[in-house]
Amino acid sequence: MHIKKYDTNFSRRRFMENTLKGVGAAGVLAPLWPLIANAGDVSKAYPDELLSIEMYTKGKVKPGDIITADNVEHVKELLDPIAYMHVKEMGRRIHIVEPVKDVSRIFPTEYLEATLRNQGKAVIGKDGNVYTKSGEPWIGGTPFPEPKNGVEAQYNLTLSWGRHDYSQYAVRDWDIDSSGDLSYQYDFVWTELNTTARTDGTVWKDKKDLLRYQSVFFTAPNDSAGTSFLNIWDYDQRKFPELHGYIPAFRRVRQFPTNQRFEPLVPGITLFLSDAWAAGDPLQTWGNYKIVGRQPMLGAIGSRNFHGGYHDNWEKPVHGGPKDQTFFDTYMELVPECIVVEAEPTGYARAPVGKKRVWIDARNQMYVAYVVYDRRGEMWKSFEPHYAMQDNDKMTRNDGSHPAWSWSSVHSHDIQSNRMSRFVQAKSVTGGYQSGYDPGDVDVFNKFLTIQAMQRLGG
Amino acid sequence: MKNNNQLATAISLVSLGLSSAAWSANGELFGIDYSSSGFIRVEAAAKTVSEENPFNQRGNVFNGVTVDRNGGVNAGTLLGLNLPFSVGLPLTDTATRNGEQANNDFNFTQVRLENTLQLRFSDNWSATAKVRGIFDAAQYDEFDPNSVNSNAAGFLYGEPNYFEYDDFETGGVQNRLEVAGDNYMVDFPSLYLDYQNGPILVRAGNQQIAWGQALFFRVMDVANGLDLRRHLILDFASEEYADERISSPAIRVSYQLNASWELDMYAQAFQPTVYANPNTPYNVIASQFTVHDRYSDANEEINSGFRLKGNIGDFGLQFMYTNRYNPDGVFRWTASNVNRDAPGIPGSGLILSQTPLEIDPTGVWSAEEWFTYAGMARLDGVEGLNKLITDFPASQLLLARPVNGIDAAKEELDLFFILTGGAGSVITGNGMGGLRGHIEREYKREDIFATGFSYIFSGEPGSWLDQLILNFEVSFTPDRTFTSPDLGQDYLVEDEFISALVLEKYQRFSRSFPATYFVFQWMHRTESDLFGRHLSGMGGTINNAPTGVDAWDGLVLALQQPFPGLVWRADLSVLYDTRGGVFVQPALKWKPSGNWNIEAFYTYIDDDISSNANENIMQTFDWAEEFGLRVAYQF
Repeated sequence: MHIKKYDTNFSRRRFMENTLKGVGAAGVLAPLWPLIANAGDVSKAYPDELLSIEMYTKGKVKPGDIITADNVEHVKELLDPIAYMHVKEMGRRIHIVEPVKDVSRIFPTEYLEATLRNQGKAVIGKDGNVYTKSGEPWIGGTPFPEPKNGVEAQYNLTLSWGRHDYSQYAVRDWDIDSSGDLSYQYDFVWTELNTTARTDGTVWKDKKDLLRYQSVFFTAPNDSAGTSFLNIWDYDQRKFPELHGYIPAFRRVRQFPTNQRFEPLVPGITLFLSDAWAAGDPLQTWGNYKIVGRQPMLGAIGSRNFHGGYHDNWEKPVHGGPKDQTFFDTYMELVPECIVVEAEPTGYARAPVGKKRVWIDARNQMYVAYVVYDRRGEMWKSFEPHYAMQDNDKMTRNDGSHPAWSWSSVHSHDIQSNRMSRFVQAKSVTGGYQSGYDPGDVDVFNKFLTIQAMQRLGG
Repeated sequence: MKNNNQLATAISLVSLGLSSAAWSANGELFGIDYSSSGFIRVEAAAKTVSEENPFNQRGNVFNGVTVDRNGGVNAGTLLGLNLPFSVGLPLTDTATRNGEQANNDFNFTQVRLENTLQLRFSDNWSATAKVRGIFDAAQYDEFDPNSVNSNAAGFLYGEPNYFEYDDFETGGVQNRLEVAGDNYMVDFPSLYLDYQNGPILVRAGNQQIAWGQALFFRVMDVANGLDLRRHLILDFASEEYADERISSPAIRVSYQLNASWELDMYAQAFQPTVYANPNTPYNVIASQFTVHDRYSDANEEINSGFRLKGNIGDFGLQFMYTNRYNPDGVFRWTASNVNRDAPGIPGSGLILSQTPLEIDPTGVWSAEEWFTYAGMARLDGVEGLNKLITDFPASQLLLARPVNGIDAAKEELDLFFILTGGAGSVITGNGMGGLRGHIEREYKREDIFATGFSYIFSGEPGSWLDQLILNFEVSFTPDRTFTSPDLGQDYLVEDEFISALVLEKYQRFSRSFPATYFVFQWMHRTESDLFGRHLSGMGGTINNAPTGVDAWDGLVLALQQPFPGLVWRADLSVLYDTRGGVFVQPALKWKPSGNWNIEAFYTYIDDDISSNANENIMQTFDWAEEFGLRVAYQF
């Protein structure tokens, strides 16, 4: 037990010091990344108060407990303000679980290997983009495992959204209105194909000037089915993506302006393009990035958040809200250190967003909470992700030779209109499309990521 | 008013059908992923003006109007001499068209049921079947041929038939995947099989093909004709031609050459544009005409085309070639083959049958009506008469002779109308009448070459240039065949250029409302108007033959303003004909929940803003101002 010489405020002081000094290295007792590189066990980097919720709350909350309105005060500072409000005012319950000790379980394996392999090779060029020291586009993994500023932290989110070279998410969405009723339900498929910043270190089809192809196409209900969009992202993060869309009424793929990213894709949903991975817009179209703090948080990052084996389609039980269906059941654990980053949408005139605040797990550089504020500075939306290694007590789902890691569900809550969009990464959705990260021999580019594909998927 | 019982039955059947979970389902069966969903929608449009459709019998502007008919036997005309003075025998009377004017509350009362079934057999193979059923409750003041003693020849010239249209003799349909009756139709807008393997996509079956970036203005969107039977082009404007573009059996192959360039090719069975039937609410062909559709001469023909689309740097480029039968067709006089004697003139029917004329009270009654409707239809009333005589020599057996000028034409026309209405009116002073004109619709092959480019401007965030998308498209059709305004046997053949400039922009005006989507378009056509009518037929009135115009220009401004959450959306669509006509459609779209969708729109049309109404396209549906409402429930 190496921690007893530290009092409970030690970590807080150290976090404050690191934030003020702009220290990039995570870890309180020891630098985090050497530990990850050596064994994956980060327990030596943090005192027990950051490794145990029981210690942190002085025994008031422990794994196996459920956070409710009755005990949420004990973890108030570990929740983003909207998640706290969910529990305090809307009947949300959060299950507390033992924290993951093996950091490799909060990464896709290949992505972690690339991160370790390429550690220290990333620089930000004069144009503000990330390159290797030889000037090539990024070669995979987290470019800045120890970010020294907000831009580096945000690049960790931006360059490889799903942390697989190809991701295909079969998404089932439910939109709950302010009275707690289900008002809309959508099925859609979201695909991402990185051309650069790939874990395999290659540049896909020599597309050095691009970062990714990304598409989203709706498969249900009837009036939305066929609505399809293809985003082609430049590697240069000063440029807006190219956007092509198939709108069923037009019967053809047309090119659309792409700078309106703060609006729902379809009626009633609160998901905006800008929300994706807390990094839905090209990085340099936002500005004033800064790290405003470091703190422990509760995050839904453990394998219990994968519902495979519990439900045929990986859908999750719901509870809370006026009609007891507003929230998914979520399983949170103590995340010892989060980097808190803020940024403003400087490239979007009259954007309704004033700023965003992102809590990024210092270990895997993935966000665990994300809140958007309006121009008046009032909280507007939260976009709360839930991740999981896809092996639980019921089943294991592999990505290649390793258990797969991905997000499992999201709460996207517009608190000003009190509309909740909650969606899961399902096993499959209407149309038979399935989630997956290993395309194998399937030519996913031509199948899902071309203008021709939009035409075909549109109908 | 009819069909109330049928409407109730239809709604009951639909309700019964919806109670079955099979309508909306998805899953896997025998290894095939399937999904099925659809909607039922009630659609109505209430008239907001008193004018009736003048092209229908019950909207004819001469119904109940007493007209002086000043006919005469003109020696100069009869002898083919251009005499400096008029020598002849006048024959005059008055006539009052016996049609009963309608007083409709609605232009449109239909119920629609659509269901889409999608099947995925494997990663490479999939299929789509979309079925569309329409029932017209026909809450209209319908035409009753018995009320005017009509016995007009032809399947479509009795009581209104809202959906069948095949040809002059029979009902039925030309669309290979459609069944229809007088107030219902069921078809498959989509019924195709997809095979996709790498960069190749093959789609085989009944399908729509839409090319080009321009909306509503069809420069490259030439693969399919339009089905105008339901709501003409006056439905929810933001949907463009989604419901009108008529599907056709086709094989379409597209090949993604690389990430930037795509080659798209098709070959399809020729499928013509379907016009609204006579005496149905949105009919735009004057119902004094009888159309003989010669589709059977072309129904085995194949249209084909290709498009190459891609980018070079920041510029988008398109190149298109299409070889097709023009689906709109061309019209000209044809022999009526109707042997019906004029009252008191035995044997005249045999002669008339060899001309485009048929005696029936649903025809034209006077020269005044003839020239009024010639102007409305963009035809030449004088030369139209002459071609009727010279192209059909039998008419000269009735002493008809080519005329020189509108006055002589009126004199000769009124003479005919008097005689064929019963010469006794010369004594009584009150005549009957009615001469129908028979025309045939043929289809002509043409080549269309087109190109287009696009560019996205960059600018200061929030400026009008920021993310402004510019598209320009132009097509060239050499030797395009047009209906001649004189309906002569020789069609007009001209080269035609059609171009469109399109500007699109999202502009955010406030932080609390999503951006407004703007589309501005300008179309320029060198030979025809938006509906394909040759410009030489423009400008005709009751007092003069058409003067013609040089070119047609139209401007579109459309905008969409979503409300926060996209639950509400306000639209505005404006089409301005630079010769003084305007179409304005404000609309509101509301999606109160996942299952319900409500759209309300008001259509305002003005044809005489600044010029001769017969020179702009709005006159053709100026009477159709209305308030539309669509309420849909999806399952």
